[in-house]
Amino acid sequence: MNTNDLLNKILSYHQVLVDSRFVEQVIGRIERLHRMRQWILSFCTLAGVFFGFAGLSYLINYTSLTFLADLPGTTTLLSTLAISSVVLFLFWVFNDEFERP
Amino acid sequence: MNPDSELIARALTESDTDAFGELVKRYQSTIRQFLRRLTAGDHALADDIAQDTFITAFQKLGQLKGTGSFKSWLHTLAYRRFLRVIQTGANKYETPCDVSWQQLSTFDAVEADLLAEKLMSHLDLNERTALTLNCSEGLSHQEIAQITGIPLGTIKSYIARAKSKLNTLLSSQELQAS
Repeated sequence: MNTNDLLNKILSYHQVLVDSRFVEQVIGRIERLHRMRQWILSFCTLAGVFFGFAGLSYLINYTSLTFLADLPGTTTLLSTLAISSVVLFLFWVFNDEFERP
Repeated sequence: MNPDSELIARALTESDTDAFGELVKRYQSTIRQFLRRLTAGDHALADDIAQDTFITAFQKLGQLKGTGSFKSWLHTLAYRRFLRVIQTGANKYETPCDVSWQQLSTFDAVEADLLAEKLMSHLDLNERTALTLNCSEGLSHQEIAQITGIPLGTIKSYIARAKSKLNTLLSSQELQAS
């Protein structure tokens, strides 16, 4: 056996490393990271919705108060539309299947 | 057995961790062995980097281009991750380990791998990477150049230099033993 063959023989991988714990650890870490990402996204979304509503109520109180006070039915309708739009938007943001058919 | 592309597609579109788990199961051995060689036998560090490699792979699956194989891409991620880790750490892999002639004739797979890892400590990082990818993984010079980002000519010279160093080392061990 020449030295090149000997080197190739020595340097080849002799063991097949199959360890189910390794796979479980990797998947466990991926799922933890995924959950953390979801928490951060949810928190940011809720914070956005909260501040959005705060701003909206501020505007309603100071600019449209008289108009909306005369039409209480309109307020309910607008609120329903706004909430439905937010819910639909969040559903679209969190649902990856919309992006890839 | 499902082809890689099918498992990758499932992991990508459905965030299917079972499909990705199958890919981890399939490639854990080659990536862990590769990193054990790069770290010259630091198994704990090699496994840590291997885990990080697979997690990065899952996060960046969308960036995987159809031009290369999944295995080559994993090696690229592992190599980059290893470089980042050693940039922040000490240069403890620069201390060559003793190799005994008795170890060269071992038939035990564990011992044989330990010997190969010890031999790696006699090479510098670029030589280790190029030689492992060439001799242990059986990759072509072109593929190694793509994985490492090192020019083709330089890869060839790293491999030649690494082989020359190890041949000298093996010859000296043989002489001592005789």
